[in-house]
Amino acid sequence: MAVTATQKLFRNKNVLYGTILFAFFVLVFTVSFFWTPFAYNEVFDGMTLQPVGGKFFLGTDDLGRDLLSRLMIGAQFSLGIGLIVGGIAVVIGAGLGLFAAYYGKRVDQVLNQSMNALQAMPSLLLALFVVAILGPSVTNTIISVTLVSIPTMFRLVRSQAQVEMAKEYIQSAKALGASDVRIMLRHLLPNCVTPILVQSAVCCSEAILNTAALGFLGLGIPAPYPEWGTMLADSKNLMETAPHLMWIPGLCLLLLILSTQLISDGLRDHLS
Amino acid sequence: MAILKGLLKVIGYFLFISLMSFSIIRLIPGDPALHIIGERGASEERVAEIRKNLGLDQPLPIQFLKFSANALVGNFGESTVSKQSVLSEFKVLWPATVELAFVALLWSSLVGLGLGMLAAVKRNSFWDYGAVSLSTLGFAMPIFWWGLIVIFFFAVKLGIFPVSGRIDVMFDVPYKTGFYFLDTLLSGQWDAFVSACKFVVLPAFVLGTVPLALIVRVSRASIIDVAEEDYVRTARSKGLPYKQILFKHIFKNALPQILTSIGLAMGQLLTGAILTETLFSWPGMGRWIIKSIEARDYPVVQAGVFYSMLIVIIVNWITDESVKMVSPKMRDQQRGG
Repeated sequence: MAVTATQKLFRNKNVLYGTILFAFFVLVFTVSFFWTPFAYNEVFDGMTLQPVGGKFFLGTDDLGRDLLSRLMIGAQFSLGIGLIVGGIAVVIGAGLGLFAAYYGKRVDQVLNQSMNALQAMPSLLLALFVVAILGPSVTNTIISVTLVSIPTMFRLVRSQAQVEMAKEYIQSAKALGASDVRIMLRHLLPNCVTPILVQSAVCCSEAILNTAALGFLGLGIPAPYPEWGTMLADSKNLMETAPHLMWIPGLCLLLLILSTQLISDGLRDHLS
Repeated sequence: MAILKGLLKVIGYFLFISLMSFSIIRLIPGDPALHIIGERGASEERVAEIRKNLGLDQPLPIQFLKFSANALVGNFGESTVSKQSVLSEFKVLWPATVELAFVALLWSSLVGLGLGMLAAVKRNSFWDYGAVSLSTLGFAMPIFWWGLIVIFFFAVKLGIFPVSGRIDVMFDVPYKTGFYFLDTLLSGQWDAFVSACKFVVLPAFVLGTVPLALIVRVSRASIIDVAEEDYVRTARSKGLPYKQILFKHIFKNALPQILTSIGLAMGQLLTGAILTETLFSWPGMGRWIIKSIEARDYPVVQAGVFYSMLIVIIVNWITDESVKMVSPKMRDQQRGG
């Protein structure tokens, strides 16, 4: 029987397990828009710190809010920001990378140096400083986390595109009088798809991690929104009485990040 | 000529770092002085005073020159929260971070190298799969959650290690170098030294996890790479004992890549230090920066940007130099061979 490209891709164990895990989170993410067991900010009096099981499937937090509902809404932030940042990084990072490689010279130098400047600082620190300037909010979290993820995407796409630029088909396209935009999008872009695909998964996982880290430091998504990193920070003083508040959000975060990393690792192996 | 080039590079780096830390206040929308005062409001004179303190009352180029000149001698003004000079705060805090990062890097490179080598030598064995899965997990692990788990088991359940601070409050360590390991020994307090060791165990363990994952992965991959080279096959066919091949032929040639990964790991340590120090109330640079951001203590934020970029550049430089030193190829290129 003929083996399709998709079947081949899923023979890679990393891609397979990563996709299954990721699909689970996407399911939770989608469902959370229509249904959660309770409202995420509904406070149940006298039901604080309920253990796992019973009326509240995953227990309740210190204010008596349902943990499962909060986790589901939290997935909107973690996964949502991950996907948004992955998307923006592709558009801006890869776009600039193609641009720099195509025009070369001055354009390339300026873009490359500014990306170097962004990378001179550890990523979380840069995100923190952006939040320090703009103040914590959902939009600013997205801005800071995106800014951090653009340089690596730019660099990878630029170096791949530079290799392609030296090839003959680009020259012949130019000779045929194709416009700059057409060469970049129709000829250069399809040949840079591998690094873009792999790196967008990496960007996604870094964005999820950085968003949670910002939340953990109290500078991410502000209350009352339930964000996994913030939930973990709150659980620190309750770990003796209600360890489930520490275990469950952390496990969700780990599995979500793991799924994106498995996908990016597997894709890298498969495509190279 | 080479010295001149190097000097120009250093000046360029310096101007770049000070430009970045200089711009951070200027990028804030609105008047930073009003930001610092907050919602309570203040008199006109107070606002003018703060503006003068931050040097905001002069034209931008002059502000920048002044800032750079001050940064050169480490003068970042005084903290708006503690009213102490930023430099004096930094002097006490940086040894704490360096001490923590040093211990973390030490254990993660030793264990990482060992595991990576073991995995590469016994390829496709239980050890190999174990090491690879460990490093995959380590990469994905949110370090703050890992820290919570470690605290849960070792401090809450078992109660063997303390989780907050650098040393037991009963000890009074006189300031000499700022490094508690040295200061306690210099002042002859053996018990204090033991206490400092106990306090560093958990944060250093947590901080070293992500670097560990990186070092295991890179050392495994680079040893496997080198082991497939022709000269290794030649060495084997000569009948050399495998231990000798491993350490003399393979390891030496894999070392540059491994060192580069350790350099990268040091960059990660700085990021990790922010989270670890917050989690373990470790009085170092990371927590200092977080607190200053929360309190809108802009002189400290500026100093934080400046010093952390300085550290990254120095670390990169040290990594490059040490790679040049151990790599026979690059060493010869430098000599012009």
